[in-house]
Amino acid sequence: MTQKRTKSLSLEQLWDYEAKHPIVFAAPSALAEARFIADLDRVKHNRRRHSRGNGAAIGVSRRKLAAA
Amino acid sequence: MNKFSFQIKVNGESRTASLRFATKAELRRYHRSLSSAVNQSQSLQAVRDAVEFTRLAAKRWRYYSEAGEAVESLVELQQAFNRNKRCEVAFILIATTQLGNHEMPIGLAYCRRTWCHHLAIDFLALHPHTLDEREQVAGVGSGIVYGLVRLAKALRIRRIWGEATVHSAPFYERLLALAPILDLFVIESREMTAIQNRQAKIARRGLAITAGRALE
Repeated sequence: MTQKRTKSLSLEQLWDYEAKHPIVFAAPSALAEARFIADLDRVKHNRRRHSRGNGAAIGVSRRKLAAA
Repeated sequence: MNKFSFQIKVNGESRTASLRFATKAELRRYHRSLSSAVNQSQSLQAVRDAVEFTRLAAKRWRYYSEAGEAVESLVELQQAFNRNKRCEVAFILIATTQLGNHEMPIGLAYCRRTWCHHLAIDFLALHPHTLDEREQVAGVGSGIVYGLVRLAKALRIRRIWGEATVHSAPFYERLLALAPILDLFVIESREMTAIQNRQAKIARRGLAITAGRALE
């Protein structure tokens, strides 16, 4: 489909459009990637919380623990 | 050059807003300001989307920042592509306006400088406060795109592009005076000039009104 130039709107006309139509946009591919990152983060967070619940030491390596 | 000013309309009156690179601290502040908006208007879909998109954009930015692929200023952006011409770098621009003594966040854009020196817009979302029907703020979306055009010009970037959706295509058709816009919009030299001229006209008129008031 060919794109055609249309009549240019003034900024006031654009503002009127924006006042009625909320500008909240996300590129579908970016949104999918961001959701994936958020899920990864959640899993990582839960795993950390879970391991803490099991009594595992956080921030101390096994070698240091063995040396103690 | 870290900051780009543009005109918006708040409750019927023209006002100046500005767009700047977000730092980690500013993103945190912006993020915190979302919670009050969520509690106030649960029902509006646009508000829920604005909150979700902003949170996801911030999370994605943090993820890239940890890998050293996100920047917090124009200088950092220039340094990144001077080091490696083909690098891909992400950044968030935050738009704010002055409300009394208080600086109010009004929107943000998550962008990427792509490997071939173009700008890609991934998220463009108004702050939920500006979507509140009581506030009546207009012009933030077109203002942010204008700020991006100025950034592109400053960096000699020839193309700004993004994926359009069924919701965003009508906005870009009006902004760029091109139809139909399907799932891709492209802003090049001609459109950049038209966007700049449109803002310049309003800014000149604003100056004339201010001068007129001063003479009264």
